[in-house]
Amino acid sequence: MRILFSALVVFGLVAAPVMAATPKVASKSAIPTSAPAVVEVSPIYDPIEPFNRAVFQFNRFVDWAVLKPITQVYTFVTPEFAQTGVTNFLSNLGEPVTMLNKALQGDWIGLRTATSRLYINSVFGVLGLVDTADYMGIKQVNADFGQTLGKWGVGHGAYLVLPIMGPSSVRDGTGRVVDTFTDPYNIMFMDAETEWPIYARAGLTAIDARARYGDEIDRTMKTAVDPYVTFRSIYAQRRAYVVQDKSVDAYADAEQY
Amino acid sequence: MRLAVALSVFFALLLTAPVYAADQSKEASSFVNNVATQAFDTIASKRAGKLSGEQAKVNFRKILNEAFDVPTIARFTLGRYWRVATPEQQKEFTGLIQTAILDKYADRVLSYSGDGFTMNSSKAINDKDYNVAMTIKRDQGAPVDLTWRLRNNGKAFKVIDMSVEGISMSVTHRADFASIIERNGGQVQALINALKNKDALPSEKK
Repeated sequence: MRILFSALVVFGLVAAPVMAATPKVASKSAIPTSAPAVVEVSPIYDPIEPFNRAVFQFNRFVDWAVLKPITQVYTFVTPEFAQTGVTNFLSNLGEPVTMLNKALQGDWIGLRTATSRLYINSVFGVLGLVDTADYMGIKQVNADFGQTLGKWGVGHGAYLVLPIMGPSSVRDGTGRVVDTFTDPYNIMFMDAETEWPIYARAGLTAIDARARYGDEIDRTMKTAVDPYVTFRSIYAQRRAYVVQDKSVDAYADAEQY
Repeated sequence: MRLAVALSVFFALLLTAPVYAADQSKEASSFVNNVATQAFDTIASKRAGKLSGEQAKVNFRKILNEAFDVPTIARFTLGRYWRVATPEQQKEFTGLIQTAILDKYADRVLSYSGDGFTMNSSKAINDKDYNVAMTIKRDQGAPVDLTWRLRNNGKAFKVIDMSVEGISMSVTHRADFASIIERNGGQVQALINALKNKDALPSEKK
């Protein structure tokens, strides 16, 4: 009896400070080759930085010269509801890839969500133009193969800025390629040997994304001291969040001041 | 004997419970609710024409400056270079955080078409910090999930970070600042000069 009593007290005395001192879990497992969870300069291993910076500048130029003007025309000419329709349509086309990756990740609830959304929106949402599923409370989820690889424990490898497509990594870039080849829309047109609908969709996706986020991105570019590093940090944080489903706790090992 | 066992179990359970000072997640949530309400009221007044654009900007910046813990944010975003900086540099940098960063955020947020917000969760992360989550509704576009990180410095709550979809304002700025310092041979002054230059530009109007 006495032994039990002592054991409990000792356990209590030891466990309490240990539990109080344990910070919230910060991910280390998903990014094996890069810096630890709390970031300093490079949150993601960037061995080809000069090259990436060049591509980043190139992308900014293409955006200024091509994408931004086209998007401005698009937003001027297209009424709000139609722009929303385009967003919904494109996102509906992306559901199969989400379904596949949710299945690969073992996220059955996510799989069910994506499947329901695809069906409801295609059948009852005018071929995806209306996000009926959202009105029913079935909110969109996203999954891509880069995320799947991340969940399987694969690290980014290295930061890569892709021409036109922007921030990515060896892992996520590979993920994009897999997504392209597993997308039924693309498969169908590749089988039919008609490529243009694939490019049309890609172009429209870029315009739609820029119409929605362009202003924010422009402002970030202007206010950042080093836009390249700012976007790299944003990318790394975002992907870490997407892979772990929670944010890295930046303050975990910062002093308490 | 039984009493001894019961007491020891009681104390063991007490000792193994998480050692949080007092769970103030409700107060944390109220704090965010207050700040957000004041912010949205300013936006609404501006839209209704009761406040001029300039007045709204002044009010909004004031609300944010009172709610944010500028010194802590300054220390965190300068990271390891805080110790390297001279006291004058630290002071100048802290001032720049307010004018070059927070005021710009204030102006930016003021121009968003936000309709209202709903409070979601509030929980303690450790014995000083809390994460409070809210969703901002917008008339155009998808709702935005915003997480506030608060720190209780003993007297009051203050905001030390905001994040959206996993992207933290403080972490992003820290990476940005560190990069400029590194690319200029570890000189904190280079960052201060760069921020001053940004400050000199007219802030974006919308």
